[in-house]
Amino acid sequence: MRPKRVFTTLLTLALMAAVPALAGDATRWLNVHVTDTKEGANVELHLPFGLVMAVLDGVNVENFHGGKIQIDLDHDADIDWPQLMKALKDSPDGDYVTVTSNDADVKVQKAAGMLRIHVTQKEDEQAVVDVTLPATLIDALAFDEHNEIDVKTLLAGLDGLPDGEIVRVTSNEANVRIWIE
Amino acid sequence: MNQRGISTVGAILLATVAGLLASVVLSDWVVVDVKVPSDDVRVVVPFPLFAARAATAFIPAEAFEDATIPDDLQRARPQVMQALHALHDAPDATLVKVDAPDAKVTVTKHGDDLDIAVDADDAIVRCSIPIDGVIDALERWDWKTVDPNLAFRVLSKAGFGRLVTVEAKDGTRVVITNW
Repeated sequence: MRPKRVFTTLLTLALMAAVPALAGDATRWLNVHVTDTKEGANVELHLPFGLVMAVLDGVNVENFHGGKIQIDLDHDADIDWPQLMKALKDSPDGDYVTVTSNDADVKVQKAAGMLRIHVTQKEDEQAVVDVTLPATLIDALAFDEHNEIDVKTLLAGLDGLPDGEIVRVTSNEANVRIWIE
Repeated sequence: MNQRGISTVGAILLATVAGLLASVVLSDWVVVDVKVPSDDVRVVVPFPLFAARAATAFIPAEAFEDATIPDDLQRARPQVMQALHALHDAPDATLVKVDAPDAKVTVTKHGDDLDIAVDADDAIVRCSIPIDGVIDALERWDWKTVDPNLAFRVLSKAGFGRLVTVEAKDGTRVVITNW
């Protein structure tokens, strides 16, 4: 009886100790790595989501206010972004946009609940951009009437996602990688 | 009777002096050590933190009446405090790492402290900022007027040891230690 009681006590103590440890592991981190290949500089950010969300509200710089980023959209393209995003969200898996031009190739596809955007720039920095986002976050990607994306809402959605890479950019000038863990 | 009265007064005076001495000895001390080799100067200024805080009370209000706090900063108070609390609650980690040809910078959260290390071509800087001290100081601040006590409130929460070390290429060195 006694060894059993000791074992039970030890198990209880171990579980009590493990709960806070597991809770500590629950912190989600936003990682950003930027390598400036021209200048030879490397920047690594490893920030808890809670901090990022708190800081975003306070950022007030050009094109970024109150957790929203303003994108300079090409109005000549005459794309109804909200309509496009809604269509993407409601659509089954498949390739939705494939553009091949002298400037860049663009491919937007939805597969296994993930939205994948692949851009290959053919001029200037010759950037290759890969964005992978769960389709459930398409709403957060929508532009409002001021051509703004609510980054805070987007990040709040990311907080609940499994670990993984979100953005990867490689170019002549810089490489960028953003992932959550 | 008269003799007894004198001894009582003496005992009170002695106790007062002893109390003052004890509070000075037991309180946090900050030592500022500045060395300028080019001028062959070294200045070491130790001072008890409570005395520094008390001294700020004698700074006339007029000294800061022209200094104004930007409205933007006042409006950002909730965000700043939220960010500081989030930082305080975050697990220990290296949050920022910059590796450039002319400088290396790391910002690390270590317990209640935010440690900043800069290794630049012309200077090396090490700084340890008590996050809870910053939170405490900013929560007490009115965010409208310049408060000379802010820095001392932050320091009062600092752990013992070096808080700031700056070593310039020309040999100039500034060390601020809490003990």
